[in-house]
Amino acid sequence: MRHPNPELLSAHIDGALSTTEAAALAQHLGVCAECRRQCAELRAVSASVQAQAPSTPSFVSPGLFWARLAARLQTPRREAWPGISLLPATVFALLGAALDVLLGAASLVWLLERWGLMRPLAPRLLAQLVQRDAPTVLAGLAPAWLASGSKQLCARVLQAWGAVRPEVQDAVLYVGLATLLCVALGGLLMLFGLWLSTRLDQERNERSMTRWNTARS
Amino acid sequence: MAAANRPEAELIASARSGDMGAFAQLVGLHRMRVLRTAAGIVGSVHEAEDVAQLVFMRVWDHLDDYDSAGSFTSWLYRITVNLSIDTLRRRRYEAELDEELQAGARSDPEALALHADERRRVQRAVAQLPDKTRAALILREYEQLSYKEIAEALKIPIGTVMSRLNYARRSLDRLLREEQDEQREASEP
Repeated sequence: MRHPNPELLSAHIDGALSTTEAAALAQHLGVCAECRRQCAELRAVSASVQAQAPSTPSFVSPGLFWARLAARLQTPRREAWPGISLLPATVFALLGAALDVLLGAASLVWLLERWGLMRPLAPRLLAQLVQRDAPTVLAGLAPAWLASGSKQLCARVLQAWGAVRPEVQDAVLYVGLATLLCVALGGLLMLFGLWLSTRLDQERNERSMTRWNTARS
Repeated sequence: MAAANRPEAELIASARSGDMGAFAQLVGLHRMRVLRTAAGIVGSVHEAEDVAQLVFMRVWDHLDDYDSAGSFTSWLYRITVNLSIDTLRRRRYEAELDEELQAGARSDPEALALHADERRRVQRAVAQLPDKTRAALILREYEQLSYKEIAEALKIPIGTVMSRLNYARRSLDRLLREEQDEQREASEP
């Protein structure tokens, strides 16, 4: 008589065989006393191990277990940054991005107007402001460059700058200032959002812990 | 208490965002399975509690690594099995050091009497199984997991689960018989 793979007998007592395998094995067990004996032994071993499973009273109480665990947990969580609710941060980041887009669009419009590719849509107040204030800004920066010992470099930059057409100077200054403003504004809003997220998260944790302690007591 | 009935997925999401109350409830839900599994593998209730503490600390720290597409329980069992096996390895290393220090001064008659107890006999036989085999056996016998669940928890194919369980049971059967024979021989005049 050909006996089945021993692993099948073990799987059989766990009810882990497919319908076809189980049917074939059942047929074999009907005629094979040796395999029936092996199954009985496997069941006995399985039962004796199951009887060793520790019961609930063997362990410390849930309250004590949690108290010990809570004292060892690192709070805020190690991955607290990605873990915190980022909704406020996201809202403020989106707000910053929207403002950036607006400023970018305004820059584009201004440039198109400036180069005659578009009919004037808005007063050129900002453009005039940049034109008027740019030399003052440069004049303020130049001494700093000179003081840092980059005299030649600064002179070269100023010389190169002077050779640039006024409308390009305007465009560079305007776009540069707009970019700085965008970055600063977006960054500040993002930081504020993150701060708000962390703060809200801490408050929620405290509320949650209070609820848990109340429920437990 | 309405909060106690929150679904597991919601508790995990809240715990991920740092909500300790939600994590406490998760611990409450899974504490016993972690303790039982660890106790089965390390063979000591006291050590199982240390392992369970480490398991939940790791879960708390690595909640972001848990892929919510998979089963949380399987992930938890995997961590429990790994940390239990680590504990055993450390213990064996420490025992080796201890043995070197004590140099054969053993065989306490009282301890031997305790080993005669049926419970201790099976525990001792289980402790002799290879770690990974024992882990599969404990997940099956203590936790009543299906072969598929064991495969998922241990990240092994179902065929391997089947062969490990078969090996574990047959080895236990042999070990228990051998011990019985030894006891019989010892008790004979």
